Amino acid sequence: MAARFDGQEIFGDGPVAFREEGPEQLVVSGLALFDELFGYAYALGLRDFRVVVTGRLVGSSYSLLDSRRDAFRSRVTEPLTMGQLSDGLGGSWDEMSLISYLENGSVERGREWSVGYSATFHRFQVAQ
Amino acid sequence: MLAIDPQGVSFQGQLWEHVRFIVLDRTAQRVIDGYRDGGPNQVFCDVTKRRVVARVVIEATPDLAEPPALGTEGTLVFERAPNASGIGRSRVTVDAVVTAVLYSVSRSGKATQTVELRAVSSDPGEDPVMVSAV
Repeated sequence: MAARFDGQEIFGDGPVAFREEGPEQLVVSGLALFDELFGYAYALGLRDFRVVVTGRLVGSSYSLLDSRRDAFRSRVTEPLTMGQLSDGLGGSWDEMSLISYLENGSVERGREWSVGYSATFHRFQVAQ
Repeated sequence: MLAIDPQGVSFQGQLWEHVRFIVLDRTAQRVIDGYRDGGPNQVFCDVTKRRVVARVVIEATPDLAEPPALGTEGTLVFERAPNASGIGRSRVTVDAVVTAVLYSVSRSGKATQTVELRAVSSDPGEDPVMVSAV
């Protein structure tokens, strides 16, 4: 089964890897919070859960690759939408929102057209 | 590609004589490897940057012409045949830039000059080496 987000195979059939981030406390220095010069830091609470997906979109033509990039970008929405994220290997995460799609490098052309990306999915604890 | 005793070798329109070999090496300059979660094996590989290097090996004689300066751009043309009969002869045309001029002397005292060139293409999607039947 292919990896999916909200029922759509936006990752295509190219290379893809899923990485969970957290749990993690959000720690901020006292200097940033209160303008104090001591070395204290403050734990403000658990950060929201994230899944970072890195991969490569691949197409046999530039237009096909571009349509796959557009399909991915269109899921970074305002207002946010939520969906189930599935890695296609049995792992799944509910109520995730795609908050960023960033390409790491230019479009490359060899036998195929392709571009690397990093996408971050966020589970908000507070309704947005 | 290897051409032994190529005929009609020219660069920038100048005829090069006593050419013994011309080698066209192709190498990948950028290879993209890709994997997916769920297994150790590579699922994607593509070559997105390539290089073609031509090496022209010339027998050094007393009347050996002065080689082109490094950085000189021109068209390298030669003809090659798969056999002595000349059947199946083809003409190879490569736009290229001179990147090295090297000399070597064998134990028997024979000297060769090797001119190394990098093939360039005005269209990045096109192979810089053109082969046509003669």
